[in-house]
Amino acid sequence: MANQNPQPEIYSTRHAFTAAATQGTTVTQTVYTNQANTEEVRVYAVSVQMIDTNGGLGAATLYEDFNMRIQIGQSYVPFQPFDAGLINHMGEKTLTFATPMLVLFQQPISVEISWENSTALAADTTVKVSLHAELALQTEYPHNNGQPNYGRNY
Amino acid sequence: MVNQDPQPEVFDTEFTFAAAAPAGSSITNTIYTLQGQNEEVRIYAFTAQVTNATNGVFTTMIDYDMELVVGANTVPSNPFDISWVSQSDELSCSFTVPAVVKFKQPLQVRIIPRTAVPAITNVRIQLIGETGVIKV
Repeated sequence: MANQNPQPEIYSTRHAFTAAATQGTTVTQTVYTNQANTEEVRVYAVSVQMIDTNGGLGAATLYEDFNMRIQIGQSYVPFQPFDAGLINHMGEKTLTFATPMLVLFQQPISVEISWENSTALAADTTVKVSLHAELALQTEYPHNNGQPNYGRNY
Repeated sequence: MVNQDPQPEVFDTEFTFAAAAPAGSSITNTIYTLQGQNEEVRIYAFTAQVTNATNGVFTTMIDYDMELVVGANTVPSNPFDISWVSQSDELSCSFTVPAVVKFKQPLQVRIIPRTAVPAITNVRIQLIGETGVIKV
């Protein structure tokens, strides 16, 4: 339930991998948006930081071959997995989506992180993901199939 | 009370964690916005920096969460990770929409280490916002 309309949201998840995790090992976390049936969440960007077991940048900075996938309701948005190691390596550590992801009432969000390298992971690593979003009351979008019209008047 | 409308604001606050502070311990600081009853504060972004309190050097333990409390509510709804902010080039994070602080709503920042703190550590947070007169 939003306290202001719209309300900024950052949903953070932690994905812990143990050393020797093999290719394809996946850790999935669920995000609870706590939204009401009159509200929707729009996710605009994602940030990634990898850390070691001491909460620092030791060995974890060396192993970045992780993919990310975001499931909203029954569907993956975007369709395909994308590189999380790249985001961790960027200076701004943030990837902005071309258009926001839309999360409606009672649609669970799951963030999946998978180790992709054919060599087993060499150190315990935690992948921290932050989804940059807003929570807002739904408004009517006439003549646009239920999608936001971004200020266009039909 | 603003001197111009809107007026830029930078609210600085610093959190000092003792060595061996356990994971999950937290420090909460209150920010005084000094706004008039016809004014509101809009927080657009924040910066985060984690340094060793003894020598000011960047520390290796960066695993902290932050919570912003506006009035009786947390905005955003949940604590969120700031490790990536303190490791990014800009050291800053913009909210998708501003957090709005009304008159007499206390503004608090809470920092929560998620891993035991190895050495005395300062976490510095700057809230970047503006104070403006409310237009109806």
